[in-house]
Amino acid sequence: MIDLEPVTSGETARVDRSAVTGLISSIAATTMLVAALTSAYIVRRGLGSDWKPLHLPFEIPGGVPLLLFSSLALEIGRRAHKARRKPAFVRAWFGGVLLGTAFVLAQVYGWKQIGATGFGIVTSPAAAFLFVITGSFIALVIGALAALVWSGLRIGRGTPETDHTGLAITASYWHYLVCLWIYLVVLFHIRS
Amino acid sequence: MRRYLLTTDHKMVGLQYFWLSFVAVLIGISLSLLMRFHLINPSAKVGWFEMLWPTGASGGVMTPELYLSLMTMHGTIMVFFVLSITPQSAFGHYFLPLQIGARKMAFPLLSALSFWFTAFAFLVMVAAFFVHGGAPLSGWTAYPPLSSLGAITGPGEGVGQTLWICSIALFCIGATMGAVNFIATLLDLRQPGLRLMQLPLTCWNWLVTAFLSLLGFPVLFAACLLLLLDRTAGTSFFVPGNLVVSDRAIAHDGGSPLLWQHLFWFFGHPEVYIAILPGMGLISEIISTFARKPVFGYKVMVVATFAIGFLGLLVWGHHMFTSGMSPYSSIAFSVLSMTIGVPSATKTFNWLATLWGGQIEFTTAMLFALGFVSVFVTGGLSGIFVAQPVLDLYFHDTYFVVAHFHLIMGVAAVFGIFAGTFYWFPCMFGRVLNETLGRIHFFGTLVGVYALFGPMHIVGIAGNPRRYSDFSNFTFLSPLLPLHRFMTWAAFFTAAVQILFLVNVFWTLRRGPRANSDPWSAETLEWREVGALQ
Repeated sequence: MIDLEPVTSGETARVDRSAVTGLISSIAATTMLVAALTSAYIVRRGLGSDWKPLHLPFEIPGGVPLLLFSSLALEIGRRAHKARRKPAFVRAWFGGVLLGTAFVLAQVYGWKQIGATGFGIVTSPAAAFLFVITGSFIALVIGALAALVWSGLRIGRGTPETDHTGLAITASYWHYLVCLWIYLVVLFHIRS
Repeated sequence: MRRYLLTTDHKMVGLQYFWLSFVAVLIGISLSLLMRFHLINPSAKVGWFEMLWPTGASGGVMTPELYLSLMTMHGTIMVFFVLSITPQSAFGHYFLPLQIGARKMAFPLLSALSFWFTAFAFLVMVAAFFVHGGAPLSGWTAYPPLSSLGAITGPGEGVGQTLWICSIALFCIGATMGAVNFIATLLDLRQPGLRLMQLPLTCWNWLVTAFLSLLGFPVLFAACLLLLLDRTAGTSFFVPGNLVVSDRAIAHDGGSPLLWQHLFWFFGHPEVYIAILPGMGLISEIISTFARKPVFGYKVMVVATFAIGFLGLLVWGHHMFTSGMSPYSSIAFSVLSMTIGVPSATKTFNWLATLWGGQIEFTTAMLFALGFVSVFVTGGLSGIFVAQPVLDLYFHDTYFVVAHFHLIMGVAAVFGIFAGTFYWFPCMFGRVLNETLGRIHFFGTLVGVYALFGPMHIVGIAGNPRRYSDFSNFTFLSPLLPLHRFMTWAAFFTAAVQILFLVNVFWTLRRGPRANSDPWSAETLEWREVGALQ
């Protein structure tokens, strides 16, 4: 679905290829970070008698459709840019960014819900892990949102190839984050 | 100054890393000398100790806590800020683009950012010396619960330990950025027509090291995040229940120190290869250049590099044989650990085969490359012993392990760094280091490190535990004190020899003979760059 094929001639082709390799490497590093945190979560859950299951607030699974729609919007925006339809690009791309921002706000509200039920970072290891893992994820999302805004705003300032690369790379990383969130929701659901 | 600080040029970033590690190694070595001095003079009064550490050396006598903080900082600075960055980040940033015919790294801004994260991490680490309580005590492995409970567990475990964790987390970010950059540069910016299997072995080793960094440092970052929360937010990821420290019951409950060990060593063992692999690549090129022969078994060397990297990711459990792990797990980790001997030995035999029948020229760079092979084999042989769970139960936490990892990870990597410095100095600074001083420096260092770490194996076999600041009160260790004295003199001798290196570097930078375009008649592309500059 994602158009990441490198341009095959000239200096810009090199830049495109290295951006794709950089994206794949960044995804690998992010995966290792999340794998470390979630494997610690699974191991810690099996230890001690202090683990109390956590009732997940609606905002956590509710974040999935928000992210899926944002991903869809970004993809529409990217294709609109490729078809040189600027108004459609702006609407879809920044619509996707807004949905992503809504996701962040929803998760912050979800944290407050968890806190209100008496599960704190000190008193409940389950809540502590949830805060740490989702907090790390939110940090990644905020970074990705900044990259999406940056790549959207600098359209037209570079060559068509660099514009295309910027949109494709940032959107692809966002799609990866959506998959990561689905994994986390499934993990928390199974283990809660 | 502005041009230097804000540069994204790969050569300048390489030099920034080089000089950062230069400062770091001076600090790291100085700390080790203080430790060795204290081991044979535990009650010596030294006036300037008290000036430097008013609480840690009250009355001029070093306390056990200060000894442990010196040990922690020595290990951390040497492992992270010397062995991890010089062969990979310093030499790699400078020479990788040149060796593949590229004009720059794939992401120049990321190069600069990775350096500044590392430099800032170093400042934060060194700052631990100057905060209340001083530097942490928990070693470069920072095992909880010692590292996770705060100042109650020791003077350096307050702010000092927090700074240590923050520093390592920052370092992880810088190292991960560097890894992304190396991989993209090597895979995508090669000169047209330069195929992967035509790359110098240095490039292959930088690539595999970058893969290991990419997979290892994010895990250490996650572990640091959890440890920081245990210390500052009151969570119990690594702190078990029912702990009483200094007559105070600890409120944490349910955590596991072993969880930290798994996360730490998942990074920690690949770290050994992060330190040593770039050196392996470098000495392969140096041996080939000065034997006037192509590297023997090039393809096998590439495969062996990947095999070492891959297996290195699977053997972290051999650091935890004494933690009560299942014997079945121990066997698996043991077999995998010993399997690493196969590609390692393959490389060693290929280096020897490259030398065989060659017209060998014993330059200082070549001598250090041969020294690398020597200490790598010596350290590797003791590795076979500690990879056995049954033997490791005895050797664990003795000086045998200290001798093993210093030879294979520390000295071998440092020999690689020296080899690289002598070899590439003309390329980096346009002048050739003095060969006579270099040879004296090499032989002095070789004799010194064997005199230091050879007897350390015997001391370890005799059961001398590591991390003790004073052996004088243990009857069973008293026969070993003469050996400790000998090792301390060897350490001071080795350090004194390094003054020759410092003199050589700084004298050459100012007055050394100018290099011609290819002083070693090497064939890799970086020398073409020197020629183009002249």
